[in-house]
Amino acid sequence: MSDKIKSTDSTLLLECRGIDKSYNGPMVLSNVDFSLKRGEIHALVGENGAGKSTLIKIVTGITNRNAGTMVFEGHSIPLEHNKNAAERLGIAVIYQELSLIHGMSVAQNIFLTKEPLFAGLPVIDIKKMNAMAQQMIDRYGFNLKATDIIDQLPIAQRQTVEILKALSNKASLMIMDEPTSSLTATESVQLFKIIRLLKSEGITVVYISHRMEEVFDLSDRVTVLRDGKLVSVLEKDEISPAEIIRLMIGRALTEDESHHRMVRKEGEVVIEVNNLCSQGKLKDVSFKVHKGEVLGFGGLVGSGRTELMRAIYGIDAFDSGSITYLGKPYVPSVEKSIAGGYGFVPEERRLQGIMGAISITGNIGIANLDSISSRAGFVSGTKERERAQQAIALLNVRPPNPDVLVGNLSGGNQQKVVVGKWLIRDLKLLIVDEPTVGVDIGAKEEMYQTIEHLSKQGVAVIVVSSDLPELTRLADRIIVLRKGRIIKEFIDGTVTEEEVLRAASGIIEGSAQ
Amino acid sequence: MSVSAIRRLILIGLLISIGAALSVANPSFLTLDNLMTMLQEASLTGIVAIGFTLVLITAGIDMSIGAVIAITSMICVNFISYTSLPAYIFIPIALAMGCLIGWFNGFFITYFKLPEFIVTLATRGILTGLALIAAVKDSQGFVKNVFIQDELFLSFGETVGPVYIVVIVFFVLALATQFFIKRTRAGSNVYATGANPTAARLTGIDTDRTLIGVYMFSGFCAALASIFLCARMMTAMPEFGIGSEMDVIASVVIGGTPFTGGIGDIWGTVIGTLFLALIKNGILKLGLSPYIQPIVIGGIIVVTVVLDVWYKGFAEQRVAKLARQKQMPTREGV
Amino acid sequence: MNRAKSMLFSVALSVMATGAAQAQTAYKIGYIPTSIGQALTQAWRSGAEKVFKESNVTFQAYDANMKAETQVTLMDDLINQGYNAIILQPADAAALTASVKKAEAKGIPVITLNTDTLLPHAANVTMDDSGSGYLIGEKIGESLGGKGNVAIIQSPPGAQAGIDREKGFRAALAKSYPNIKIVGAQNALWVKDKAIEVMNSFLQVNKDLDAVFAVNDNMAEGATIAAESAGRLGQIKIWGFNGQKSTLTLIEQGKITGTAYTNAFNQGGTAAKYAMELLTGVKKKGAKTEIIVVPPFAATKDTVAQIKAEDRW
Repeated sequence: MSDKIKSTDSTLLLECRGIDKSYNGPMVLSNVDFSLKRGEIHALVGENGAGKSTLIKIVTGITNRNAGTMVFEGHSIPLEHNKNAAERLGIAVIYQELSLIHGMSVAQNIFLTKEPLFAGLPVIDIKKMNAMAQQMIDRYGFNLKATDIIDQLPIAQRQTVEILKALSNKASLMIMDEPTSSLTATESVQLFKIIRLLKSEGITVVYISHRMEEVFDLSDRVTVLRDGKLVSVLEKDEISPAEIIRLMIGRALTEDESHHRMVRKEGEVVIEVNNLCSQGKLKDVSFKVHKGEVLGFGGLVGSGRTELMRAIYGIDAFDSGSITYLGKPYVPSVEKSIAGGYGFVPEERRLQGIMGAISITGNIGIANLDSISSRAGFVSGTKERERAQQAIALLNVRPPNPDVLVGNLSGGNQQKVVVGKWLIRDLKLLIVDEPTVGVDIGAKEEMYQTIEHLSKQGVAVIVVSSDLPELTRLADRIIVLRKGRIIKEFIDGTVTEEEVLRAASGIIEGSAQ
Repeated sequence: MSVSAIRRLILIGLLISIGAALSVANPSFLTLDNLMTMLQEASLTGIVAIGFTLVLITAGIDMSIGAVIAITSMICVNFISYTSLPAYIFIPIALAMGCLIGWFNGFFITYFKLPEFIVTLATRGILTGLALIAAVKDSQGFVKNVFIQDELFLSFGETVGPVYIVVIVFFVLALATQFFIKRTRAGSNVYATGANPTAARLTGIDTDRTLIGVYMFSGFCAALASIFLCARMMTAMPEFGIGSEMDVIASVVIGGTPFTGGIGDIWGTVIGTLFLALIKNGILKLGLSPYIQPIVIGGIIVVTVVLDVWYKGFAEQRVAKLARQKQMPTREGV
Repeated sequence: MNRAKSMLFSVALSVMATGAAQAQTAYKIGYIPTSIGQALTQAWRSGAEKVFKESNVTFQAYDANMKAETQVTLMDDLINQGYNAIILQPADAAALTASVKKAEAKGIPVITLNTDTLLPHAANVTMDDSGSGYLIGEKIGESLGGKGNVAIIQSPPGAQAGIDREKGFRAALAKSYPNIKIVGAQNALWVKDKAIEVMNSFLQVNKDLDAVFAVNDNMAEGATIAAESAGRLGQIKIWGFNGQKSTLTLIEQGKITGTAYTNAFNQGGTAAKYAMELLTGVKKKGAKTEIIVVPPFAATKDTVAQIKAEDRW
């Protein structure tokens, strides 16, 4: 066995052959080959359910493969692999859900479980720990202090700490699962710099992302999985977003799916916001949304987009300004907004949008109690079920079973349920905040089609998104916020993602207003 | 200065000013005897509160502490009544039983993934019943609370100079535990487990072992307090400690360890314990209606918790602002 | 603050009055019952207050919430505050022994009510628990004609007074009425609501229950409520202990069969008088605990009228 291993390509850091995996039943991975070169940035792509996570879990020892060989730095890894062994070998994961401990300092997080001790004593040498951490931080030129408390750092810097933690484990392979999903565009750019820096240090990075542009920009090679099988491994010069998407979904996207031109829509104004101000959050925000129009809101995280949506919906109060809804002055409150035909799909789906332990029927029913209950307040089970089935059919929720607990659905389908809560009402205005975070590309497209379908029916839609292609794809008009103000509005014609990003970052040609 | 440091200073300031006010209001407050009994009271609660603090840091709760006090007292009194074993043998056995009960709590919580509240509440019920069964009975089967005369055992209730031994043990235990959680790897694991168990596991921390250890320590502390309580009262009763959970929880929460886990330390608990003991003593000294005491204690808890939440919101805003400012320079550089 | 001022004032007064006539001396006497909210402990308190009104005494009551630990804390505090005497109803004999010893060592006489502690102290003013229990045993035995099923509603484990009542009761049955069966005995924590629960379980298990002895009136009243709602009040004889006002009323109404009445005003007053006599030097503390027994009176429908309105508490 080991003789064979030595004969393999010495430029390879990891070589997996014929990996099979099933969790009691269907094959999640079948006969997958996966190899990584030393010091490369390797993208692993595929739709949700393609087997990416399972493959990563096998490599990192969280789960065991059923068959196949795995060789890491010349060591053959047995079927009975485990996480600690993988870590000792130098395999590290930068998790999508950050694995840092709140309340602890940067240094404490980096060295957790391997804190330097005073010689011969089980006592942590805090001074030495801080110095070691600071040394690492400085070596990579990060803008951090070893004694900073994690809670006080922005997400992007927390990710940097994760990377430092992996580096302190002498990781030679770093796996990043959707690292940009909660970063702003600028922060993402920072992260890419760091990834390239890691590469220059000879560290191999496996990069998992739904964002094709990132994959295209960064990767040296791309492995594409579909339905648990290896589809293709692309070399640098073969990589193009369109090609990757074709391989992932097994067909090419149509022109309509990938491109969109902004169209001016005028007519009846659904909502008009005038000079909205909110201490420290919003300043003089004014805009209108017309019937059947999709208005996009761009801007960095913290630019006030979410705050603006919450204010319009009536969750948070605002200090001054006025709102006119359907031609009448309107002071928003959640109850009135729901009764008046608003729909709101919040940013943090798990926290604000769904009740995971309740069925699809229950989730949809709760937002529509008025229409499913009798005058005395008793809920009609039949009506509730009808409504749920209506929403499932309308949005193509998978599985189409109204009794499934929402917590058991995939991210994309959960999002559909959140939207579905509002669709079956007499909807006039739909606000969606980051509708496709953590959703795979197929579900994303369905989401877009739903939004378009609604706007064609005359619903005014406001889309807030950090995903620039998403904004340009959906919006008829784009407003960019920065520090609580409207800094730029794009109407008519075409807009490039770069233009939106520049506005959001405060780099604007001519006068900045 | 950090939020928790400011909070602590305020509490110490209040401690001193309430103490000063009481000294003026009732001359018997500022006497050595009174201060020493007050410290003794505080220490009996405080020893239990130290173990409980660690449980709260892991975001758990231990409702069985009162019942552990009861059963430990019954174990001791049975040894005294029915054996001639010396105290230096049966006291370690009683303390080990406390650990064992904690182990059971931890085992059920981690192995069967049961909610801490339910497990420890069940343990509480079982131990309460066992304490009654184990109680020493007279010939007709009536529970007879024994008047303890074992001198070595009673020496736990004595003083060194004017200071009760229990007070010394409380402060030494506090010091050791504070050092343990702040300066050892196992201590870091406790915080990590409470702040984010998933992250802790991903980092390679055996969170189950940590939890079991913490519940064992909590059981140990309760058992230790029980021995001092028995020595002080020179007897053991099957209802000892039952219901004392509230004072322990109050001390810890006033001390600044929230129920959410990952935050808190022993110094806070020490201050919280002293604060509670002072309030209770003060109520007696002012000759206020005894019914006022639970109201005052409840009120203080509500006020501290409200202030904590309010201040946390305020601090988070400030942190978010700081974080945004930090982000600025890198952003412009793109 | 006012209270503190007045206390300071009285301390100042007592300093000025030193050496003057003894009746002028101000005393602080503390009262620690197991719980101050009960008819019995309130009656003791008013009986004592009546006595103290005649002398210069600050009489302060403390609530121990039925817990021996709390009583120990309170004892320590009263000792530290320099109280001159303490009237205590121990929640447990053994648990308060050390505290009573500590107080007496500091020259503070302690007079216990009902439950005695294990070491000698000033005095114990008590109902005749065992004797009254015996009396009730005989009354029940007689009324059942020497045959039937009886249940006991007990006090918490370790409460000596309750245990003595029960022991007396059992002794009477064992001696004179061996054919009466005790079908159940459960603790109802001295309180009414728990007694309802306990009585309900007795009623469910025993279809032919003839009599119930509750070791205090609160629990007897609870048993009455349970029996009444089960529609079996007429078939069951219920006896209580203490003789509080509400129970006497129920006896007049025929709902409760009887109780061992003690004049609690008298009992409290006796304790108070004894304390004053010790403080003013009329009496000297002996080597043994002075035991003063307040005689009981079997109050039934026939005899209850003999208890005067002002003696009802």
